[in-house]
Amino acid sequence: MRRNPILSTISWALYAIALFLIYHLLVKPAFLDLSWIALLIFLPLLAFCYYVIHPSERRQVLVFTVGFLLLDRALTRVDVKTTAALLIGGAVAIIVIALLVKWYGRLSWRAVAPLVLIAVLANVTFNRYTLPALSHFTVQYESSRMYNGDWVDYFPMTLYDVDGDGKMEIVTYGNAEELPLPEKVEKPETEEEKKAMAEKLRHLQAEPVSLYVMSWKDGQIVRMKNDQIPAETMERIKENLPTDYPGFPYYTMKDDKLVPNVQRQPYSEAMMQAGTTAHRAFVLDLNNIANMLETNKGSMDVRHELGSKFKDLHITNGMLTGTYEGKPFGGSTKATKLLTTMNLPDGREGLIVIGEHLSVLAVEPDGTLTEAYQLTRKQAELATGEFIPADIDHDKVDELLVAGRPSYILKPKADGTWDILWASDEKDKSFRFSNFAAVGTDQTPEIVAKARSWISTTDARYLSGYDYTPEGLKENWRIYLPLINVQIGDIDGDKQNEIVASLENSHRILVFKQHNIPVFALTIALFAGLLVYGVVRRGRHA
Amino acid sequence: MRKRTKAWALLAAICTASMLGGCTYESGTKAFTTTNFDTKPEQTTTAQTESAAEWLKTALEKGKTEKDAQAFWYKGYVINRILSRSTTSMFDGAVLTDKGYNVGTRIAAQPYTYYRIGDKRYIRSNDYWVTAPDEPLEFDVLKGFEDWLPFMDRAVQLPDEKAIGVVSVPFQVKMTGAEWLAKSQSPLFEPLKKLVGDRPDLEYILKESTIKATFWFGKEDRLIHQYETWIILPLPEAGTMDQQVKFNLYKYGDTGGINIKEPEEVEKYLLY
Repeated sequence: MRRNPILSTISWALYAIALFLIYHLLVKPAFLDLSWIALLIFLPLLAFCYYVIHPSERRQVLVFTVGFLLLDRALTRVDVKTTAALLIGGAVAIIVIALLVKWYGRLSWRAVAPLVLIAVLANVTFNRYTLPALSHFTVQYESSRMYNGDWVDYFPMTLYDVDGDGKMEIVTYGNAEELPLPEKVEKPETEEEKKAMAEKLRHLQAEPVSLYVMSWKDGQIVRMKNDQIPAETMERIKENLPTDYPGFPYYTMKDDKLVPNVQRQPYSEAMMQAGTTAHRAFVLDLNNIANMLETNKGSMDVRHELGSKFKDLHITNGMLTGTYEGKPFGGSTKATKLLTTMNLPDGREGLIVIGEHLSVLAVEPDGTLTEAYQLTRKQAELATGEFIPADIDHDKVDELLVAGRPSYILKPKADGTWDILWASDEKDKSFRFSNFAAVGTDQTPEIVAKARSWISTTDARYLSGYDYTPEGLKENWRIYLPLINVQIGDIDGDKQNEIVASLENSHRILVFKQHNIPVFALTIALFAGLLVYGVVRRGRHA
Repeated sequence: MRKRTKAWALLAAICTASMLGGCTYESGTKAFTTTNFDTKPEQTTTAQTESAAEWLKTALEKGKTEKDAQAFWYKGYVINRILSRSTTSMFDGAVLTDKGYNVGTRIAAQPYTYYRIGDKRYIRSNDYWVTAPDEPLEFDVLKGFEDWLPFMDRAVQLPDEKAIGVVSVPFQVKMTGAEWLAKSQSPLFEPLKKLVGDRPDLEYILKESTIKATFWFGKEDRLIHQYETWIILPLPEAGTMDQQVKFNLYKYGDTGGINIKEPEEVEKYLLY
């Protein structure tokens, strides 16, 4: 019986779509998460698939499968530096694979055409970062590159409602507008050009860098003009940006510039007097700190508002002052940073500060400060830690998520000590708490953390959502991307929180929107359906 | 045939369950893992009769005079840890004390090479060699170690340890930044002493800081094989800055293995 050519083309196209979904949504995540266990699962499945295809069609189906996955991968990896390179690279990949498939697989053009078409559509119709997230999210927006400098791997980011319209603006640093990339890199030819290039290479260069406030407008994120943001708002924005010292102590951020504090030749000469390295490092550190303190008028840290009850907070010369519920308080402290606040078991709001150790301070009725809880450097690595208050058991008292190695969930007890509710595995170098917030339509806050795969020994971190249960952290979702700078908030004003993040060294902002389509279950159903179809078809052939 | 179908069904069920089933990250040990903060260094069981200062003096003397100490490899790094960010600068190269050195370096993720042989000095950056025009510092890799001598009376000897394969005797000194600055004779500290003089805010920082220096002297050759300092400073708006400076001087006497290009070789590729 002669097959309808249109039906045949549609069948191959549907097979390509199914293949694409199964590969990206089932096979890849399974290997990322389960490592060799995925191999144990998929090898028998592959063997089954191989034998379920009738021998007379086996070659065609296998070559189509491999050809399609290869072309999809090739098109994803085509050089994107220039449009010409993109088009030429893409065309070469298509022609080579199409001809190979046609010749080796003895496939008709009715199969080759949908193979090429679906692979091309899969690469041009949606943001590919959607695929590692698609089980629960789609990429709502990807910004263009915001930093064109030489060395900063990432800048801090925060969300802040700058214009008071109820949706959050994305705030970070960048210089793409101030430092556009040259159209092409010129090779120095003349003496003058060589001299200029040599001068540039000898010295580390200052780079412009300024605050980028990005707002959602008509499905796009557009930069707000800094000179249209009131000075007071700008101050609050900067206060809310996570403290960060990119390049410290070799660079300082001042007057919208990243200025080098060292230069190549003197630095090398100095470091080659090995016995002086610590002395020089110490001098460099102290000079930087002296400048910071001078800029801050001697203050270690200042916050106009923190939590719901603390205002006008200052740490100066070992004294912490401010107001709590409108009443002034003060006390000595060795802390250098005001972190955040947490609700304590006795109903008060505690102020979390950090110096050498972490302290949760409570204000007494007479305006003095007491240390309600302490976490010492002996107990946990605090220097590189992050601390997130989170009421994970919904008892109106905050627990403290400590992101470190290991990470902890600490419950404050009435006697001033901590109860460890959960700790990450001591050998797990990857796990790190990131946020505690509601994501998508679900208004219940959940724990968001970066976690490595369940089996693999590699330290790659994937962003994951968890609920705390007495048995452990129950995973709700996972995005198979090593995201950093993760912030959660409603940036498009639809009353649902999006995930805003970036990838290291990419300097692009990605916005992930949660959907409620059971993509994973549907893909499994699709896979099962394909297998059943294969069995039925084989039965008919037999 | 029936058995086969059952096996396939079981396999399919396992696959589906493992894919659909939510994963739970069970808690590890519910106890704080004690860090090495403020840990008293483990005392050695084979205490040396010579003092730490004598070990340092001998190492510096031998470093200047021993034939084998005139050619060596070295590598090192400075890591600054502030909150969740680490910034690293690195060094890697070889020294011939009668000629000069070649050092591969990275400052804040920007790599380059610095070359100094005789009175020739060049930088290689972005695949171009260029002349390095600044006035050089004295070529003396051991310079600065003598500034530690006044502090060695408080050094604690740690158990013998291998530093890149060489059994070494480590000594450790600990103090505050305020003590270091006050007692050090290093000329590098003079401008800092003046700066701190009228700055109570900096005095506070120094008082609350910790400096820890450790020296590894070769048990046999008595040369410096490893050197590490930790500088922990309170940092505005950031808790503390934990800075680790670590250097290794190794393969002493490897004259056959060290091959630094002659200046003419570099000059062939000089951009300017």
